Amino acid sequence: MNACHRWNDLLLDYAWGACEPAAAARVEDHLAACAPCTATLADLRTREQQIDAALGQLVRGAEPSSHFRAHVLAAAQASAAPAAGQPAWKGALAAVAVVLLAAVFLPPLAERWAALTERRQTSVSLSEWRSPTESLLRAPAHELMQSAPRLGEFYFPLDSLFPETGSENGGTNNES
Amino acid sequence: MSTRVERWLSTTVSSVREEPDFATLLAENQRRVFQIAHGILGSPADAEEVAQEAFLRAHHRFASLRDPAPFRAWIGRIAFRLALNRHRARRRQLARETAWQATRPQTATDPTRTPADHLFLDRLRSEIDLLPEKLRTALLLSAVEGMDAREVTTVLDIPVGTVRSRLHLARKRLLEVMKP
Repeated sequence: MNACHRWNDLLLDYAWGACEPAAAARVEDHLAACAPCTATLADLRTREQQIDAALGQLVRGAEPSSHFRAHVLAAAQASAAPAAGQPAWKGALAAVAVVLLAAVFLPPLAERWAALTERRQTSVSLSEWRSPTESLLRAPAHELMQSAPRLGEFYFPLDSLFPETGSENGGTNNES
Repeated sequence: MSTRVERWLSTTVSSVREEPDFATLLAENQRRVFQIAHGILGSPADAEEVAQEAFLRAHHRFASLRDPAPFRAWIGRIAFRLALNRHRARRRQLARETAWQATRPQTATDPTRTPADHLFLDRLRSEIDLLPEKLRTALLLSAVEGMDAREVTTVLDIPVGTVRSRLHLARKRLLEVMKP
């Protein structure tokens, strides 16, 4: 029996069908020649069947009671009910909480809103700013500046600026 | 356009119709959930309390658990965790008490069993209680009706290979200690 001790683990694996084919062949060869190991294997199989059956009885033997389902459904409904009809004090408490939160958070929010409005107005006025050159180009003289003068013409009456040279310049201007 | 709307409406209505309600899922799962708790705790009264608590928690979260498959997995996990917590608390309590034998869970009595059967069951229960928790839970969950190794992995949140290895070890130890 002592000589067969080393086969014990392998016998267990063999009984469970968990042996590699080569190992299973070795076990079968040994079993063919060893009566004690054959008896051990038979004992293992019997014990395993007993344990399996007993384990099934331990775990699957008991059933939930017949009123289990009704109890669970009733408890579920009872736990869901307070949400539908909450006591009045809970509503009042919620309202007080809302007022307190508003009192705490509204003033800073108003300040931030005012600052944001001011920044927005500044940015709008900056975007509408035009350079003075643009306003000059839109002045009444704009059309005059766009048209090219003809030969011998001046934009401005030079006689008034240089009275002593008025006749020498031909005396022609836009008005002539 | 109207046909698309009609098609969408019909699929939505049909999907709403196909969704089982809480009572249906409770009926489908109550036996398994009870067995998970009973396997861990060994007491029908405790198992029923744990199963009820698990279903109440599921009821609170039912909006996200309407599909049968996620419901089955979730309720199995939560029942297992609740049962394990209760079992640990009970063990701590037993460790504090000297007369622990008096409060030890008893196997449900069945008139069809012989005294030898009762003895064998009590002995097996004691030996299972002596197993390390990881081996014990894998073994007990695998004995629950309809729970294969894959479902045990879902409850324990460990790989299939680990479940198989734990089962192998647990059964091997039981075979060694349950010699006549």
